[in-house]
Amino acid sequence: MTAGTRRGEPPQGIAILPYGYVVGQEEVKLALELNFVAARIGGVLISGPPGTAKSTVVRAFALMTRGRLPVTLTIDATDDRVLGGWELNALLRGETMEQPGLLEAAHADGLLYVDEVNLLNDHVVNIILDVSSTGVLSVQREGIDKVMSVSFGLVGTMNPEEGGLRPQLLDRFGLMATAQPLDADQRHAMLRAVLRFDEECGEPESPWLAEGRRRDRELRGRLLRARSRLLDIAVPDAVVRRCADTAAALQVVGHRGEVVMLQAARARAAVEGALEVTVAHLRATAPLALRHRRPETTQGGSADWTPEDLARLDTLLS
Amino acid sequence: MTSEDGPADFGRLLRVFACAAADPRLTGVLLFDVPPQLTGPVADVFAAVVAGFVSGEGTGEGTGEGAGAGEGADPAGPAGGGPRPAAPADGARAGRLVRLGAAVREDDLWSRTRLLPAAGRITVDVLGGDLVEAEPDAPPRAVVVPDLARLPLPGLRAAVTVLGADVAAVERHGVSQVWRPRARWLAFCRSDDAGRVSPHLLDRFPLRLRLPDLVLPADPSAAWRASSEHRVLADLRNRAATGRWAGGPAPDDAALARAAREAPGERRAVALARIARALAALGGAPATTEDHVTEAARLIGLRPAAHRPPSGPEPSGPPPPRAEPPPPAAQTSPPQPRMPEPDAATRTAELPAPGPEETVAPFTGHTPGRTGGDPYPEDEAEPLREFAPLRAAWRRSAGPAAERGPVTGIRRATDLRDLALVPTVVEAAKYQRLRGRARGGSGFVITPADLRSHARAAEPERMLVLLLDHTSRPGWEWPQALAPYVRWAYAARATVAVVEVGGASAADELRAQTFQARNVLDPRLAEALYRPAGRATPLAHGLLVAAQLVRRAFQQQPTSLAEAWLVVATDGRGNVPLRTSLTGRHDGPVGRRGVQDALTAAGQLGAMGRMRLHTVVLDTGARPYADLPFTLADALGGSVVAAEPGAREDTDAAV
Repeated sequence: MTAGTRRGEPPQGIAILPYGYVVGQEEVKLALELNFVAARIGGVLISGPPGTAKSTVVRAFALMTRGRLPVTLTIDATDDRVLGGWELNALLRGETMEQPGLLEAAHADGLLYVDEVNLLNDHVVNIILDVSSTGVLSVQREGIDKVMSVSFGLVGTMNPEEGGLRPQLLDRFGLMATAQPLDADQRHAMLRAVLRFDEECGEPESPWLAEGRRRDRELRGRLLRARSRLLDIAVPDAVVRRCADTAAALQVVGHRGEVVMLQAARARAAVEGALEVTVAHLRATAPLALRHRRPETTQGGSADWTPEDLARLDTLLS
Repeated sequence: MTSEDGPADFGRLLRVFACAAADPRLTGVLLFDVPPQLTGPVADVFAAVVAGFVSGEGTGEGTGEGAGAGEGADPAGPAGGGPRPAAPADGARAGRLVRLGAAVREDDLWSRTRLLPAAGRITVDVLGGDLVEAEPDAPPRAVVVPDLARLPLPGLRAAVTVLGADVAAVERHGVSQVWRPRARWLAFCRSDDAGRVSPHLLDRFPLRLRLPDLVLPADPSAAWRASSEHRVLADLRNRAATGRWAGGPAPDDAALARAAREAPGERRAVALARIARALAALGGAPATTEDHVTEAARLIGLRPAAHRPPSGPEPSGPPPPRAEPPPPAAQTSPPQPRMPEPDAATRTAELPAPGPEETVAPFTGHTPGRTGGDPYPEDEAEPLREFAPLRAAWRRSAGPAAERGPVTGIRRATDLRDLALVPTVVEAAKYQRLRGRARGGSGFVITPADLRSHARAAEPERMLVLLLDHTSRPGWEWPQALAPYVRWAYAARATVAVVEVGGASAADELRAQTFQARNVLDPRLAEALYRPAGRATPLAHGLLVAAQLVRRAFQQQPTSLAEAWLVVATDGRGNVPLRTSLTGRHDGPVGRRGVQDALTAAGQLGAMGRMRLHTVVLDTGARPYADLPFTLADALGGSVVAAEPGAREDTDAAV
């Protein structure tokens, strides 16, 4: 697949499996889709072992919904690229031309993707925290004097074996999903899809890829319709009460958890075409919104949502 | 000559390299236990194979990136003293060989700045680093890591970012670029070091071989050019030039089921299936079948799933409902459990030789001899790595030691210490046209914002010296007794020096042996803690060696060494006089001389009067000479810590 201009095609000859062909990882997909429908959720953190298609899902989703790869913050990025600076070639010609930083680019794109987010250098984490919490990007350096409001969703992927995130950064992600190993049938299907993609991605007229793009267009249309209906979805007061009670019962740290849980439940209802948010929608989104805001998780513990946790959630939201 | 005419291991090596060249997704080759003197020639062959053919990535005309551009890059020619590989045949362009050694820095990898002369001024040119592949049509680079366990942090992080990724990006120092990584990586590692490397990184290498007995032909490059793989790859390249997929025929259902079943973990299953597909391409097969999966598993030494311990990354679920073909009688030798290393005599008899054109038999496993082995030793290795090894270690101080570590990069200066002069000039050069215009003229202007200082790796500020008297150990669990000190050394990122006396396997039982390690995760420390006891106890010589180590450490790091602990684990009963240790000659009855010499050596150590040296004698409680440890501690100027055998609580309380 070479340089493409159609929506859903990656640029620069970069080949990404169509989103619809990614096998399994339903929780990760759900989190990304809800975050797309309700942008105020604020982002998704995807955690899981290596080889579980975390990065592939994120890039495929960005290609499907935005038609381009996400703005990506690399783990070794320097602060001039994060905050912005001067365009180098212009400087050498004696001209001044600003080069927008990744945070400004993410504001334009609506999304900032950080692969291996737990390997980010600390000073870059501080910059992200500062900007995302205040919504203000202030650059006062190298003769640049710029203050602007920025807003973007943060999507990160990480392998928990390489260490966790600081609680402040963890909290900036609205939802957290875990990528899971596949079962035997899924592995077979995954192998077929991945190897087929290897073989087909050099074929510009591949019917198989065309079918994948068609499916992606359909899904994108559904998500866009859900997004347009989001504010029409009623949120009964009883549901709000259950949401607050659940967060309190699970001793969720701070109040962002219940806010995000309600936003995600509303997005879920919009995707399903429901007229109002129900307890079932809360139940479906609660693990995503709360797992990284429990006391043990914010203190560096595991973010796994165990069967016992699920049973408790069933009790609270039955 | 074909590859199978040469040594069997070399044939397997060529086949693995050919797979990496044939399939653009098989980008990482990891070789375990290759003799160090062969890494250079093997890297040369790898570069020749990669340059000669790459599937599905175009072979269009052009100038390429040139060979040897910039530091850290060499032509695809002699490397490590090995024979020069052939220029790529059949019109292919030469790629670039990049070596990632122990001194690699972030700025070499991602962006590089060159100062250029210009009329009356200085200007700069910013280029992508060694890993940035700016030209999609250029031949892929061959990236060689001579020792994966010693690759510094910038290299480790770069490898995790780029290797096997769909997309890579650089955002550094004004350089912003996104590309599809096409470089092929070749890394060498000892199996024993697998536990020291992040499994996250090891997981990025789909092609693996263990080759402790590798023998290269006289001219490896000529052997490669004459091999069957070379001929087949040339045909595949012609196919790829037309834009069609040339990485191998599509696998059938049975092959996919087998790959899913045999390989532990999703990424490994994909790797196994891709290797099988590449082998099918190399064999000219119309489809990738179950036999190719079998051949792929045999090639990398993967044991059948049914015979592996359940220690893989994750369970693979129940196998698909497909009957296993019964093995023929000739193949019924049962797979062996993971065994200790066989001795040299038995090794030669166990060498499997899965040559490229051998008959493919049902996958019944093979004896895990030296050249077979598990391709995933990290699954069973003792984890001897730092916590979060891909993250920079926390700095415990911003004191003088922060200015003494090896340079790992450049950063904006916050004061005038440790300035990096050339990067400062380079930074200032970017703005000279503007500044010259603003100030009306001449002169090279440097402002405070241009100042750059060195970013340095943390240098150890603490040291642990362990003197282990093995003859005093019976009844003791040293790992438990020494745990408080080892934990301190780990938390403080201390270097470790170990002095051993009385070991059964000592090269010279009359002398102490010593080694130094970067930290307590060195596997030699664990070996030392369990070493069997011998008969002689050259304690005096051990104390002499310890004194030399301590003195040297304080001399070499006079200000940065903040603290050192000397832990002497002994009952004090030396039985080898110092003179005997030094001369190697017995000179009459020993009597008390062994003990007395030890006390004298201890006195010299104590006389150093180092304020930052803490000394303890770990009393092993041997009787009837219960006073000896105390006398020794007095001479050392330290204290005695007593503990019951295996009493962890007591030793915890002691520190």
